[in-house]
Amino acid sequence: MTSLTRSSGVNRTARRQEAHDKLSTALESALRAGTPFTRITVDELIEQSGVPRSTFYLYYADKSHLLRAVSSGLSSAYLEACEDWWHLPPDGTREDLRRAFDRMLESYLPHQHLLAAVIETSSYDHEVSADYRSLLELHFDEVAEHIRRGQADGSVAAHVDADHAARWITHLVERGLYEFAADAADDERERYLTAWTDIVWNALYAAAR
Amino acid sequence: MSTTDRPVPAAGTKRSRTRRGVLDAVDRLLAEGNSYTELSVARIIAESGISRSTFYTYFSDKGALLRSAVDDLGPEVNAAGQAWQDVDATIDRDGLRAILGNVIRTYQPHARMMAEVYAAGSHDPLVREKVDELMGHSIRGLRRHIERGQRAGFVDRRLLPLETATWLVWMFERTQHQDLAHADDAEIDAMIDALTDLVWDTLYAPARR
Repeated sequence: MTSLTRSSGVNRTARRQEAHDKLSTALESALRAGTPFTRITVDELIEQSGVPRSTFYLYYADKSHLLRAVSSGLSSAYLEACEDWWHLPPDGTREDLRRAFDRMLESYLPHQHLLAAVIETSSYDHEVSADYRSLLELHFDEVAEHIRRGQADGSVAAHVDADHAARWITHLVERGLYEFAADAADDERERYLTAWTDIVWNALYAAAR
Repeated sequence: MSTTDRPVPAAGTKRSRTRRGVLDAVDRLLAEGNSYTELSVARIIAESGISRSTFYTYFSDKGALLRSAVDDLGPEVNAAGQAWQDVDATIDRDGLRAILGNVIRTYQPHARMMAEVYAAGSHDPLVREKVDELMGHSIRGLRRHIERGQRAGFVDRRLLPLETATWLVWMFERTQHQDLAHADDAEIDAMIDALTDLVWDTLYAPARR
């Protein structure tokens, strides 16, 4: 990087992204190694990532702020992985639904430790909690919309209460991924995926087909 | 079961009343919007009207208080859940609604406290042990119910009993703590209706088609 371009906006963005990526890798590996988020220090993250202290504090107020920044990127990736479910076509089959859930699980797996840290931190950090709540609210809305679209085209049972069913089903997915589906051994994970598919299939689509 | 847990005193004794008084005081503080991690022992004893030494006679620390809350509530919730396990081929949607509504309503007054128990379980192994016991009991019970219903022909034979029970029990947990703990009466009723549909359509309806 030459000094001529250092002050350009593009490079500032690139430098910020680079710091973000390095810190995010350091944070995820500490969590993956089993260190609870509460015990991870900014010092460790700086040392592991090679990002200078001054740069850390230029972008982040503290490690919770970093956690929020990293998880916001992952949340968008996860929400994108939900699209196959939320846009399951009216003639979608049980197998299509299973593939959609598999994609969600695959998107969750590599970042499960970070997402677990978000869930755990949200029980006492108000800002992390507010972020997480709004992610869940978005999930509720998308599922409710999916149900209403399906009811309009006849692929979801008409008696389902879209808004309230969406809450139960969102919690089913969120808790299952966090508690057991991500940690399961391969064959066990397949069984969880099958049960997840069967529950949602029966609850939403089976009666309409 | 942890060896450091004190035996639960028989109901009605002075010990039991004092202990219950502290748990009720914590319930009130949580209802005021305090988070458990932010509550000091000083605040809890002030609200309970007992001395510091009395507090420590009953609870070695704040984690022990949460474990004690599980000991209190566990049998009550398990008893409400038992009615669901005992459901047979004569069950209809209204009967199921009464049973599930009773489970939710029994749990409801304790939902804030239990939400704190589950959150603490992520960093306190003794609390987590209590959570696992409670969840293990419910999952085993629902699994047996599904297996029995499949043999008798009133539960969808396609469902994997253990995995289906695991998803559903964790869905209960999360929804109760995240949504219902803060919901008003009308919202709780709507959630019970939606849950009844979900459980009916998942377990029983496919076996009747």
